[in-house]
Amino acid sequence: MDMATDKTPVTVLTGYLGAGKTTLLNRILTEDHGKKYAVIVNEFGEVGIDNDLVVDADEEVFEMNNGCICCTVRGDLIRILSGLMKRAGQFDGILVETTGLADPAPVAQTFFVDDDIAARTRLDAIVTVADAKHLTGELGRAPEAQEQIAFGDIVLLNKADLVSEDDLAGVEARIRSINPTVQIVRTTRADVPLETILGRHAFDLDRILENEPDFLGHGHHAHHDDHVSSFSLVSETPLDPEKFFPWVQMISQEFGIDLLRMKGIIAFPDDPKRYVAQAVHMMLEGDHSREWRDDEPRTSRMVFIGRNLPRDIIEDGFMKCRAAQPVPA
Amino acid sequence: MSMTLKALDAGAPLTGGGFTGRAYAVADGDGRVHVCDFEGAVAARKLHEGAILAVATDEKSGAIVTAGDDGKAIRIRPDGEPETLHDGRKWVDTVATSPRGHVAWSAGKTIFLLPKGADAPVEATAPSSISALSFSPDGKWLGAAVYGGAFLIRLAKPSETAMLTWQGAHNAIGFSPDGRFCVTSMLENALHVWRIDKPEEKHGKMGGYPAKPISYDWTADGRYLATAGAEVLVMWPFFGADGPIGQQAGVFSREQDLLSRTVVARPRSQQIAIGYVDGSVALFDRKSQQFETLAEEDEAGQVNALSFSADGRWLGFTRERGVAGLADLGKP
Repeated sequence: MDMATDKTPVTVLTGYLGAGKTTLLNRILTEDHGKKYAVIVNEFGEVGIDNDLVVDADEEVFEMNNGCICCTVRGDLIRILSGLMKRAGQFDGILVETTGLADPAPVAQTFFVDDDIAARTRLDAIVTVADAKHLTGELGRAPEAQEQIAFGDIVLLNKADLVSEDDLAGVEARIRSINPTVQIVRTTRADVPLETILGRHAFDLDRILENEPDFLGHGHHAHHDDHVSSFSLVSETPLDPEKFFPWVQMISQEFGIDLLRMKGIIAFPDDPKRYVAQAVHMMLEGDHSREWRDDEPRTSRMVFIGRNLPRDIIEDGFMKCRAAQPVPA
Repeated sequence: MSMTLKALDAGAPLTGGGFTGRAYAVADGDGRVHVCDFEGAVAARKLHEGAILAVATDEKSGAIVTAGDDGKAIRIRPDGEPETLHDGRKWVDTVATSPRGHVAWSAGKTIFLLPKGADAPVEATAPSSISALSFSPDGKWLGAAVYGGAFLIRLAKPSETAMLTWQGAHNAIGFSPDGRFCVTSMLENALHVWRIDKPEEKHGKMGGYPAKPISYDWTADGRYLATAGAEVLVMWPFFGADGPIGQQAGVFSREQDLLSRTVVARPRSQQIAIGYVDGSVALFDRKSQQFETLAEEDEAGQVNALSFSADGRWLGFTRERGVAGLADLGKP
C-alpha cells in the first residue's frame, strides 16, 4: 500500500506476445523483495507463489453509455479490483497484464471512470515490454504495437543483448518519434530493478512531464507511415485561463478518439503555481501543482500523442490561448 | 423507540451481512462469518481461504451462503456443518438466496442455480461476467446484472432465458415486490428500469446521481423505490401502470450533506434506513419526512450493507473497513 495516498498502486504491463511480459511477471513473483503483489493475468502461466496472489482475468472491454465511443473500461478489472479491496491485508501493489494485441486505453480509463476504484487504487504507470529485435517490424505491421508504445510511460526494450548498438539506437529513435515522453530501459531477460517499473507515479499530476521531451528541437522526426505520432507545443507567453480551459475541453472532445495521451504544464498570468493537465482519450484531468521556481522560465508546454492528429489546428488553437501582453509603459 | 447498539470489530474488511433466525451474520475479508445473536454473543467461523466476496442469508431456514475468492460457494445452516456447494478455479463473485429456498451463485460468466431440494445446480451462461444476482419476489425469475442489461432465467424452466437490454455496464439488480419491474444500477451513475412484460417499449433511465446508485430497495408497501448514491434521499414512484417511467423522483434532504452508499426499507413501516459514506446510519420516516440518526460516523469507513430482520425490529449494518453494528429498534 502507498502510505502517502492510502491507495494501492496499479501497474499495467502491456506488449506483444513473446516480448518478455511473462518473464518479467515471473521475476516479480519469485524474487525475494519482501513485498506482496497481486497479479491479474489473462491465463494462468507457470506462476503461483506463496505470498502473492494470481488472479485470472477475462479481458472484458465495456463501452460506457454516455455517447462517447472511446469511453471504454475493463469490466472484469472493476470486478477484480473491487474483490481485491475486500481482502484482509492489503497489497503493496497490483500488476495487470494485458494480452499481446490489447489496447491499453480501457485499462487506463477504468481508473478515471470508476469512482470507487479511483478511491481505493491509483494507476501508477503503463509499462510496455518490447522485443528489441522485432519491435521495428511490429511497428511497421501493426497499429496496436504503435499504440502500446504511445501509451507507455516506460518501455522495456528487452532482449537488448541480441541486437547491435546501432540497431538499438535506431529502435529507440523510432520509439521516441511515437512517444517523446517515454522512459526507455534496455533489458536482457526482463532483468530490471523493480523500482524502475513499480512505484513510478507516472499518472500523478505533480509529475507530469518529468521525463521531458526536447521541446526546442521541434518536429519529432515522425516516420512517414506512422499511424501514431506526437508533437509538442510551447509558449513563452502565459496562457489565458478563460481561453485555455474551453479550448482544452474542446480538443479532448473533438479529437479524443484519436488522442491517446496528452500531458501539459501551463503558466497562467499572475499565477504563482503551475497548472498541470493530462488526458487519455476524452478523459481529461488537471489541477494546480507546485509553485514555479524563481530560476525556472514560465513556459507553457504540451505534448500530444495520437493517431493522425491535426497538428496545425491544435497548434493554432493553442497559440490563440496566449494571454494579451501588457502594453509597455 | 428503544435502541441498543452492539458493535463488532471484525479486524478485517467486511463484505456484508444478513439475518438468519435470531442472529445477524456478517462476512469478512478473511474468510470468516461472524454470527451475532440478539443477546450479544458472537461466534466466528472460518469458511474460506481468502476473502468472502458476497454473502446472502435465508432468514426462514437460517442458512448463510458465502462466495469466496478461493473459488468456493459454501452454505452453512444453524447447528450444521459447512456444505461446499461449489469448488472451482475462478472466484465465486456473487451469491443470492430466495425466500422460497433456492440458492444461486456465479463465477465469471457462469450462473449456478440450485433449486430448493436439488442435489446439483443448473448452469447457465450469461453474455458477460456477472456483477450481481437477485431472485424476483414473485418467484418467477433469477436475474443477473451483466454488461448490456439484465439477464433473466425463468425459475420454472431454467433453460428459458430473457435479456432486458440497455447499453452499458450494469452492476446491481433488483425486482419490485410485485415482480412487474426489474431495476439495475449502472456504471454511469444511473438506474435503469424495465417493465418485464414489455421490456422493449417500457423501460427508462433514472439518472442524475452524483455517485453509483448501487443500493436501492422498495418500501414495505411497494409504492416507492428508495435509492442511495446521492446526498439527498431519492425515491421513485412505483404505483402507476408504468412505475417510474416518465415520472419524477421525490427528493428528501437531510441537514448534513453526506453521500449515501446503501439503503434498505424497514418491513411493516414507511421507514428507510440509510448508510452513509462516513459510517453513519440514519432512519427516514416517509410519514413525518424526518431523518433520525441511528449511528454516528466511524473510522471504519462507509456503510456498505444494511439489512432488517423480517419483523422490522433489528437493523444490522457493516462498515467497509471492519466494524458492524446491530440495533434493536423495537417493533415497527
